[in-house]
Amino acid sequence: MSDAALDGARGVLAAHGLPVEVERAGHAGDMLLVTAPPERIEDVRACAADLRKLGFRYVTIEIVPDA
Amino acid sequence: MDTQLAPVLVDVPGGDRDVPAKTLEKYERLQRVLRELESVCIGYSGGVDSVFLSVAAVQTLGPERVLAVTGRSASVPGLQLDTARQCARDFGVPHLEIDTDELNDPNYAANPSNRCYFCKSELWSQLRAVAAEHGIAAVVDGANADDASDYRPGAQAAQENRVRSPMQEVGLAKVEIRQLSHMLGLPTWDQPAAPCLASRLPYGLAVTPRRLSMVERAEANLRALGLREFRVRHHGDAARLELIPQDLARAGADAGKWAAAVRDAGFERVLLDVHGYRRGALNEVLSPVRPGRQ
Repeated sequence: MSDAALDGARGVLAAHGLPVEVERAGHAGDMLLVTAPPERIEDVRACAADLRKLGFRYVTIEIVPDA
Repeated sequence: MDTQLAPVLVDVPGGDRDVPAKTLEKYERLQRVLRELESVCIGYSGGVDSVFLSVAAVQTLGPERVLAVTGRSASVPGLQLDTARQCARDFGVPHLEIDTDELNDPNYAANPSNRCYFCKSELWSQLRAVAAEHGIAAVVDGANADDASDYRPGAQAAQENRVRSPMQEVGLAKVEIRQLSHMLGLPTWDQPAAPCLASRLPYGLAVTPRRLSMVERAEANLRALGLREFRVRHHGDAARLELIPQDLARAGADAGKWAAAVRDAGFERVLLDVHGYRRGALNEVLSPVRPGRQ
C-alpha cells in the first residue's frame, strides 16, 4: 500500500474534523491506525467506509497506556 | 480465568415459548437419522452444536451407543474444554479426550486460508480410529444447516473421512439448535460461538503455542472485565479488539482497562477496531477459493 493511501486517509479524517495522525500497522500492513482518543471512535467510524476505499481492510484506533 | 462462557444475547424466535412445530419435526428426523446410524462417535468441542447433538444422541440411542470425543491442543481454549467436561458430566454423555497434534503439522502451522482442513484431517482421522477401536458404526459432527453457506475447508476433511453431519442432513439451523437446546435444558443454548484460538490469527501469520496462549489469556482477562461477545485478533505485536456495539459505546470510559488487560497477555499495542465484532472477519480477506490442500 502506498504512502498516498496514508495521505488520503489523513485527508478523509481531516474532512470530517479529525486532523489526526495515521500509520499502517499489523502483520500484513493492511490495517490503518488512527491516532485518536477512544472518545472519538464514533467520529472515526463515520469515516471508515471512505478509509476502506483507500485499501485499508481494518480501521482502528490505538488505546494508549494512559487512555 | 473465569469458569464459564458468559451468555450472549441471541435472537431466538419464540424465546421461552414453545419450539415451533417445524423445528420439532426436524428434531424427530434427527432422531431417526441417529437410529439409522445405530451408534455414533461425536466430534465434541463443547460448543452449542456438539453439546446438543451429543445429548440428543444419548437420549435417542442410550449412552452405551454414544461416545463424545474432544480433541485437546493449544488451539482449544481451556474454557471450552471445561464446558465440554461439565456438560458431559451433567447430561450423562460418555466422554473421551484425546490429544491432537495439528500444531506440529507445518501445513497447519503456516496458517493458510484452508488451515482448518489440516486440523480437521488430524481430528477426524483420530476419531475414525477411536470409533473402530470401540466398535462404533459412524463418526458424526455438529455441522448445521447454516454452515453449508460459510467458508469451511474443514468440511472437506470431514467428507474425506466419511464423517456424517446429521443436523445438516435434516436442515437444522443454528437458531433452531439453540431453541431445542433450551427445550432440553442445556446451559449452552445461549452460549456465544467459540471457534478455535487459531481463528484469531490472520492467515499467513504462523500459528504457535505462544500466540495462541496470548489470545486465550487476553480474552480471559477481558471476560473477567464483563465483556461478553468479542474477539482479540493477533496481528504480531498488536492486538486488534473487535467488540459488539454496546461495548464499543463504552470505549471512552473503559478502553484503558481493556488495554491493560490485553497488554497483560503480552501484546505491545492494543488497537480498537472501529467496525466492531463480526463473525468470520478474517475470512473477509478471502476470495472464493476451492478448499483443499495447497
